[in-house]
Formats: sequence, C-alpha cells, structure tokens
Amino acid sequence: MKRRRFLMTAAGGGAALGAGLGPALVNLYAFGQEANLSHLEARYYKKLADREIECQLCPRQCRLGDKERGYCGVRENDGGTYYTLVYGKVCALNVDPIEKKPFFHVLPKTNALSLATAGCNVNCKFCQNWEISQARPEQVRNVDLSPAQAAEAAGRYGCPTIAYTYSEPTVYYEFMVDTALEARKRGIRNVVVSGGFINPEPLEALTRIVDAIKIDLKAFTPEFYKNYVQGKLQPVLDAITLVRKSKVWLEIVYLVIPTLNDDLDDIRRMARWMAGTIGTDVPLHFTRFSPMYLLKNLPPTPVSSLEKARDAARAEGLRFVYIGNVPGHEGENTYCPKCRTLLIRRFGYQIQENNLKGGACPNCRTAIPGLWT
Amino acid sequence: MPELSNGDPRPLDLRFSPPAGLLGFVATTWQIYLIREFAAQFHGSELTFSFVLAAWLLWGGLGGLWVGRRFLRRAGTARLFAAALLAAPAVFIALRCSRWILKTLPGEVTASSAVLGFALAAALGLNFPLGAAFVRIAEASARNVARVYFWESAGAAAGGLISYLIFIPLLPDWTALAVIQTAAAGASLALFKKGRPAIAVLAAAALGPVLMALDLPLQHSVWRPFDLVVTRDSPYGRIQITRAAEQITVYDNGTRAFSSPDPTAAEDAVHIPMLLQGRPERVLLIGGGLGGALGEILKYPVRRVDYIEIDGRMVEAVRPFLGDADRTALDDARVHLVLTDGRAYLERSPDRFDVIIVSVPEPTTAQFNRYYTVEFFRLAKSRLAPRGVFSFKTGAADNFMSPARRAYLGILRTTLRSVFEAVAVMPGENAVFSGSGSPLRLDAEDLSARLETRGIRTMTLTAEVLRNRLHPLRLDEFRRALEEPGSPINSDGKPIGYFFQTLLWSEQKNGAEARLLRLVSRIPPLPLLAFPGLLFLAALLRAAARRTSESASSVALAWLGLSTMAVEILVLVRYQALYGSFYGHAARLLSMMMAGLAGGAWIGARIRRPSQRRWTALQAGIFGLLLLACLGVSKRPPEIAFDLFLLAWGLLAGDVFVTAGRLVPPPPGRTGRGYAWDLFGSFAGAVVLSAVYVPLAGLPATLAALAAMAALMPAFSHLERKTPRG
Repeated sequence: MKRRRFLMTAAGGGAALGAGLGPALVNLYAFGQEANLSHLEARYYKKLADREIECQLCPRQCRLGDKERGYCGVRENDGGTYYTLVYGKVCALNVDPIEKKPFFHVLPKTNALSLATAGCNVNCKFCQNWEISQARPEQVRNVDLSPAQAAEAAGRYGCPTIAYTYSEPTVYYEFMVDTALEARKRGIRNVVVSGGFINPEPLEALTRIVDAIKIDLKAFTPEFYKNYVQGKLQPVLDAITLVRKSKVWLEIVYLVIPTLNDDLDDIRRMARWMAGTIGTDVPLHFTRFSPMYLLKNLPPTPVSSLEKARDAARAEGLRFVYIGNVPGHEGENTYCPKCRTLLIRRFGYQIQENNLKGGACPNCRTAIPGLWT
Repeated sequence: MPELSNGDPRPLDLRFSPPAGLLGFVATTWQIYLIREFAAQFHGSELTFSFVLAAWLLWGGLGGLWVGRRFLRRAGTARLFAAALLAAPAVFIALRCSRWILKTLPGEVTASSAVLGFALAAALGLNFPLGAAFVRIAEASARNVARVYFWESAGAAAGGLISYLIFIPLLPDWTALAVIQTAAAGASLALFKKGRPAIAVLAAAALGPVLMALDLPLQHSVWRPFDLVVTRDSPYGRIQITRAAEQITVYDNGTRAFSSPDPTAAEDAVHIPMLLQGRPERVLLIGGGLGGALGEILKYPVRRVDYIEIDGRMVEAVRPFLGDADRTALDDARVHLVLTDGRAYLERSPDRFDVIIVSVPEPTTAQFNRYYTVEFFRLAKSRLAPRGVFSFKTGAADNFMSPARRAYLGILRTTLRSVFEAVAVMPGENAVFSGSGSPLRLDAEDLSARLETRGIRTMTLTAEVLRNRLHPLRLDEFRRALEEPGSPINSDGKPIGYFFQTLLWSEQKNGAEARLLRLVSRIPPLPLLAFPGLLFLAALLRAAARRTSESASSVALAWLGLSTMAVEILVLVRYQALYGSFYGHAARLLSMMMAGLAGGAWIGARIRRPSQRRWTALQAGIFGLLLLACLGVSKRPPEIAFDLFLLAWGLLAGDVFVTAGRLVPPPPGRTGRGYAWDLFGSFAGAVVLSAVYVPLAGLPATLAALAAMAALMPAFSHLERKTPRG
C-alpha cells in the first residue's frame, strides 16, 4: 500500500466514523434537555438593580443574576423577573395512607393524594427521596397537573386530603397554594410535609390555607443542620413556633440517626424547648432511620435508641410521643395522656383499633387534640 | 523515513536480574493489596477498580518516561526503591484514614472523583518510583530492556502466585503487606551495594511491623463512634461487624450487608415469591440467609432449603452475633448450608426447586452482575419445578424514580421477560422481581388473603402496605417506567446492568462523573467503538508523518499495552461470568499471563535474528488470537482454555515487546520509552474498558473492534518497509 493511499483510506474511514459520531454528539448535547417547565412569575422575591433579584421564600434568600437559578433549582431569574419552573409540573403522584406521612392525629385510616415536584432547598445526606429532591426539573419526567385537576383527582381516588410531600413543598409554593385553594372549594383538606425551612411571611400566608403541617426537625444542634442538611436550625424553630400559633394542626418528626443526632441530652433539650414554646400537645414522632442516599452504609436505628428518646421526651412532659418505622411496636399507638387508655392501635400504616369517641377518650372524656373528623 | 531495521542478530543476555525480579514481585503484590484496600475503604464498583488500575499504569508510564528529567536524574535504583518502600506504608495508612481526609462519616458514600484522587495519589507514591526504577535497571543492564522485562514479568508472576496461594488465604491484608515491606527492604539492602540510601531502606524495613501494629487500631478508629467487634480479611474481601446498642451491622468490603436484628429487611425478598408460588416445598436461597431470609422462609411448611453462601469466613464471623431467631433458623434441620458460588451450584445441581431466591449484592460490578443476566435467568428457569418462581430484589424508590433508575430497572425487567413467560415486579423501596413459567398474579387482596390463611405474621409486608404499594396509581406509573421500549438485555457478554448501577451511584453525588457517564450512555455502540479507533488511526498517521521508526515502535507498544490490558479484562469478565469465584482465581489467571510475558520475552531475546517478517508474523499472531477470542466468546470453553489463552497471549506480547526493542533500539537516554508507551496503552485500556466498553458495547463487539485494530498493525509495518528512507 502506498503511503498516500494509506493516508487517503485512513482519512476516508475517519470521516465516515466521524459522520457516525456526529449525530451521537448532537444527541449528547440534548441529554436532559427534554424540559417540560412552567414559566409563571414566582411570589416572594425582590427586584434589585441590574436585573438581579433576591428570593424571599426561604431563609437562604438567594441573590441571583439574570438566568440564574436558586439553590432549589426550580426557580429562575429571567431578565429580572423571578419564575417558578414547576407550577403544575408534578413528578410524583400517589395515594398514601395519611399515617405514612406520618400524621397520627389527622383523619386516621384515610388516604392522602400525595404529590411533589422536583427540587428542595436543603440537601440532607439521608434523604429518602433524593431522586426527586436533588434533581432539577429537567432531569425528571413531569406530568402536567393543574390545581383543579389535582383537586379533582383527590376526589376521584376517595382522598379527603391532598398531601404536599416527598420533596420540599416550599419550593413549589405557588402550585401548592393554588391547589390548596382549589381543594378547599371541593371540601378537600390540605396537609403539608415540610422541613420547615421557610420564611415567616410565606409560611404565615400558607397557614391561612392549609389544615395541617408536619415539620421534620432534623436535629437540635446548629452543627447538624450545617453538616448534614445544609440548612439552619433557628429558622426551622421559628417556623414551628409560627405554625403552632396559627390554627393549623402541627406534628413534629425527628428521624433518629445512629451517632449523628441520637444524643439523649440534645433530645431532652429539644423536648424541653417544645414543652416550653409550643406546648405538650404537639405530637412528636421519633422515627427509625433506614440507610439511605449518602448514608446508606450507616446501620438502621436500634429500636432501643428510639425507646430511650421517647422516654426522655415524655419525661419532659410531652403527651403524645410516638415511635415510627417499627411496625407492631406499642410506641405506634395513641394512649390517653390522662388515664392511659388505648385510643388508637396501629400496626404500621394500619389502624387496627380506633376507640376515640368524638375526638375524646372513651374512658375519661379527655379531649385528644387533632383533626379527627 | 527509516524502516524498522533488522536488529542485532545475537541473542540477548537473559541472566538473572534480581532488581527486576524484585520490582515485578513488589509491584504486583502492592497492586493486589491496593485494589483490596480500595474495595474495603470505598465502594467497590467497577469504576473504582478501573481507576486504581489506570492510575497505577499511568504513573508507572510517567516514571519511565520522566526518568531522564532533572528532578529524577540523580535518583538511582536504590533511591527509587527506597522512595517506594517509604511511600508504601504512608499510602496504605492514608487510604485507611480517607474518612478524615474527606471529612465523611464511617460508611458514607464517597464521590468517584475523590476515589480517583486517592487512586492517583496512591499510585504516584508506589508505582512512579517503580516505573523509573525499571528504566534505571535497564540502563544498568547495558540497555538490555528485554532482560529487565523478562525478570520483571517473572517476578510479577511469582508475586501473583504467592499472593494467590499463601498471602490471601492465610494472612490478614496488612500482615501480608508488612511481610512484603520488610522482605523487599531486606532484599533492597542486599542488592544495592553502591550508593544505597541505607538509612531510608532500614526505616522502610522497620515500617513493616508498624503497619501490622496499626492495622486494628486504625480500623477501630475509622468506625468510631461505632464499636467494631470483628474484622477479618477473607479471600473475598474485608468482613467487619459493628455494634450499636443491641444491634450488629455486617459490612462486606465497606458496604453494609445487613443488620441484625432487623426483622423487616428480609420480608420483601422472601414473601413475594413464596406467596406467588402457592405451596413451596423446595427452596433455594442464594445469599441473604444471615440477614433474616432463612427465618422468613421457615415460616412456611417447607421440606428443604438449600442455602448457598460463597464466603465461609463470613458465616463463621457472623454466627456468634446472630440473634436467637436467626441462629435457630441457621441450625434448622431443613436448612442445608453449602459454601460455594451460587451460579456454579445451580449448574451442578440436578434438583428442581419450587422457589429460587437470589439475595446477592446489587450488580455494581461484573462479579455481581452475573446474577442478573439472561444466561443466569435461563439457568435458574431450567432448575425450577413446574409452577416454580424465580425471584430477586433490587433497590428502587417508593415515590419517584430518576431516569437512570428507570433505565436500570427496565433493563432487569426486559432481561427477565426474555426468559420467563410471566413476570411480576413489586414496586417499593425494594423492587421485587419474580419470573415464572406459570401466570403470576400480583394482587394486594390476593396476597393478603394468602398471608392470612397460612397464618404468616409479617412486620412490614402487611395488608395495608401491600394495598399501598400495589395501588393502581403507583403500579401504573411503575409499569410505565419499567416498560419503556428499547430497554436492552443484560447478558454475560454485554453486562450493561453494572454500568447503570455505577451511573446510579454516581448520581448520588451528581458530580462531573455522573454527567459524563450519562453522556456516554447515550452514544450508540458503533461510534463508541469508532472513537478509540479514530484516535488509534490518528496516532498511526502521526507516526507515519514523523517518519521515524521510534515513533512507529511507540505506537506499536502503546497498542500492545492497550490490547494486553483489554484482553486481560475481557478474559476475566468472561471467566467470572462462566465460572465465578473470581477472587479465588484472578491471581492465578494473571500469573498465567505474566508467565507468558516472561516466556515471550525469553523467546524474543534468544532468537538469533529478529526481522521485519518476524515482527509482522507476531502482529498477525495477535490478530489471530483476537479472532479466536471473537469466535469463542459466546461459547463455553473449559476452564483450562482461559489459562492457555492468557499464556499464549503473554507469549506473543512478551515477544513483541522485546522484538520491538531489538528492531528499534532506543537511543541513549530513552531506554524506558518503550516500557512507558506500553504502560500508557495499558492505562487507556484500563480506564475505559471495564467501566464503559464492556457494559455498553459488549464483549463480542469490543473484541471485534480490537481485532480490527490489530489488523491494522501489520499493514502499518508494511507501510514502513515500503516507504523510502527519509
């Protein structure tokens, strides 16, 4: 083979292969760009000079230049106007028992239409739903669902509530609020499952629309929030206090993670704070950690750690302290705080017995706080 | 342009070169233990292994290439050995302490970029000085690279065999490392009479016992605040048991295997297939028995349970810590524990089972992927009794699945569907896949009724949970996600499952490597294979344009390194798919290759007149072997065929290396160039092959592409010969 011929042949072969590679490269560029995003002006932000904005929805208060997105990844500054990209763009829609949220004092044995969009304003290393919460809306498959359609779907599936859950509802605030209003029109209640990392003004507005809020208090030390959540503790405590002062029903969940937030002194301090600030009637759930996401190699929580946490919280005066994610444990049940009569027997999500009479203990007539009807 | 000259007709001197033998021995044993330590410290995905291998080869190559540079000019063999020996304990200790360096929790997922960083740093400390030492030894042997290459390969073969036969089965990893360290330091002191940095080497020798003494305290510190109660190195990896309150957690190579008591963990894996089958009497359980599955199976009136566990040391280590229920289950007269490879057991067993449950780790590596392939599913189906059910579970998501997870689960469903007439997949945090020749009905009410009638009490798998998991809304979305068209089949020859597992793992950190893997996953196989072909062509053209036989030989040696590494990886993947017990036999197979390389180098050195024709014939031989591999890749050759193939490849490759050096002797000051190019080629082969090409393009296509590239090599030599001198 002559050198020139060899070079020609090689060049020809290269060109042919390159031609094959071309469409693939175009394909590569397109990866993840199959966006189905909304473009609706967001609420709670401030316009600044030079087309910058400051988001005022959550304590992060992202200050963004043109075309930049907030930490949550679902709100974008476009030419000095802030837009939500996930209004009506639902990526998860399920029917779940309300006990799964968990709400133990809200309409037991009913289902909640549970929905979420992508995005979150924190990044917990143990997130159960990291595939939604840490995704950008372009990275998930969104289904179009208007607030009216969501409310209609709840009715169709026999759900007396809509739960805004899975990821962080704060980041799809506009959609949550409008859906809640639509649901109310149809007599459907609204419950929010949140990390409580939200500014007082939007939260206050939310409490006028929804019926119950469950806040994940992830630990009682600022260090934990800094290291494992990428958030801050104080705004969450402020949110809890605000919700408690409103008419909205409040429950608190504390996920006990071995060695990270299971210190009994911290748990006692938290319970003391709860008793002193929001009272002893707010249910507190100590739930068992299952290895997840970036902490999937940590062991699950030993049941005895949950029991110790529960005992510590009770000792501080809290009246409704539960153990979660341990099906069959007596810590799942509701007892009358006065006479210790068994009121609701649970087995996982299952309600095996409900002895409440008009929201009160059948034995001593003590009113049990909650949304029972 | 000069043609490849006919070399010196005299046979080369192959007298024993102790430094070269020591170098081969130390390099191989360190490499083996480095990979084991990485597997135990980080998540042992295929990507991790290829990072370590690639970093190793890259720094070895650079060491050889940069030996002439100012900063290495005064470094003699003794100093280079001393540097490597001093670095070795530091490297292993730093790796063990990676948790503090990376500021992660015990057992926290580490980003692949961090793993790559550690791999590069470790290989810099260990193999950079050794790469440079190779060249120094060759310079001291009157630039007789063949002699060094021969004895280095022989040392490597010995290192592999000794590790396989003695170190791994008998010694904890760091004890073996201490033995290697002290012995190598002693040998180094004895060998290098002139200019030896004796103090450094003595210090290095003393570090051996230090390493051994630090092993356990460091392991305990790494796990703190958990209480590490057992740690044991087995041929399959590191087994560690931690205790927190009443609960123990068992780690296999740093990954959580199970906790005990944890009554909820095994219910999914067991009850779905058992309930779907109806009345199971004979059950085969592959893995998972220590994590509670046995106890769940024994809730049914079964006649016999065959429980297969590959690692006997795992059973020994865990048994004393099991709760009463799990220990009773393990000792139940109906349970027959067999310590062997699950796939091999199925192949040998003449029995038929009502239910086969596979509970092995997810297919993060080619080693585990072999339990999720179409070939394995076919094998399992052939061992099912009429109405029998085959089942396995894998991580999913309860509420939402990312595109990568959908793709991964879709692959498993398509693969199962291609074998079984009926397939049912239970959604949830664990997706439970079941396949059968008879219809399968996944209905919440039906399954709850069966639980009820048999009086089986479960903790998590209750009627309410079944209803929730099988709610039409969730089930429809789950089915839609899994039944997307175009999902490929996971097979032994194209193990795409582990690629998507690696992608899923990377997505958790959502770093650059996840984006890169996502992009690569979108490239169709043809352009994927064409890309390195294009690079190779470009290298050939560049070499042709430079018109020097040295550049021609560099390309040839880079190709040699790449193809040798590729063949090594492809053969190991195929071997373990067919015969399993990879860890036990990998060292043997690699030693076979090393022995071949040594033999080839010997032949190449002893031959009287190396010629252009011989060179071309050797290239043709390599092409022939690749062609043979292409033809045989879908067959099932006897085990010995793998050893012979690697031996034959080693013989040819060793010969090619030496012949290239004889035909185109390196100019003074460039003695190590050929070796460096060989390692760079190997680096390229290692970095992309196991992680990307094997799973995405498949073994047959990758082999065919290699054969096509091999076919170009003789043509290239031909070109050189016909081109007039420049």
